Amino acid sequence: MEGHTEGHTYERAKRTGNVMLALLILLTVVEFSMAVLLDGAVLLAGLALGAVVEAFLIAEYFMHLRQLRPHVATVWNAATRGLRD
Amino acid sequence: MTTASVQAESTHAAPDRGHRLTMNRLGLWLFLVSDMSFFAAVISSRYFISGVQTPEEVNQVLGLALASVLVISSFTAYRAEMAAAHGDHAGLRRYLVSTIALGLVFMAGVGFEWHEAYLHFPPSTGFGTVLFTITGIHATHVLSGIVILALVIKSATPGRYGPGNYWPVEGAVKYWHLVDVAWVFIYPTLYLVR
Repeated sequence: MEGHTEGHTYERAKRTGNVMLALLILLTVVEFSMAVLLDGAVLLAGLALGAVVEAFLIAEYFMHLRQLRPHVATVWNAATRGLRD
Repeated sequence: MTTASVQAESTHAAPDRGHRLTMNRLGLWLFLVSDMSFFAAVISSRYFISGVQTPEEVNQVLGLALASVLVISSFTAYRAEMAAAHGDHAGLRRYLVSTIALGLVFMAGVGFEWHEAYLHFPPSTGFGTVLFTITGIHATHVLSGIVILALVIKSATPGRYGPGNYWPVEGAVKYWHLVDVAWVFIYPTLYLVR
């Protein structure tokens, strides 16, 4: 199985990394700023959303989560076979 | 061995390699998901034990610095993987060394945090229990990640890893990204909520 990295150029991969680094640093600073300016439930919701977005960006662009998508159905069917039989 | 049998063997080997890589990736993701579940349980305990209040003595600058260091280390780890994927041996070593260096900086920061935290909220307090448990478990993961990356550097002889053949680098880097994802949730949990 070829991962999605192999078809991309090295330069494109580097650019992706640079953009992701900038986004992640920005999100971290935004979280810190929210903590300074907000509190209570609004802060909690904002921090939760920020963390989820950061985690997704890392999983999708750094960990290549999309490599798994063709196999999700296979894993799901294998995991639920006992329930269906 | 005849030319025909060698060709037949290599043709048969290619799908096997692809299948093995798929299984490697699926297996690693299963492990990563289970480890994240463990972190989720430990992180959620913070809210049960000490609510959403964060003591004033928590070092916010240190927390922001630690978060930044790990984010940058995730970038260098990604660059190491891309270097391996595109046959850039020098880049692979450079970025793996950078990732390890940043990991060691992070560990030093956590050590300093523990020194400060022990004075204000020792493990006998609610927040202290939470802080030392969560950061201790995370630091153990960082340390094991550093060891794994060092082993990958040791194995990265020139020409060893290249396009289509860099699974050890990919696996080690994915584990390192798990460490960063965990801190993405730990950082606001311990430092920012109030």
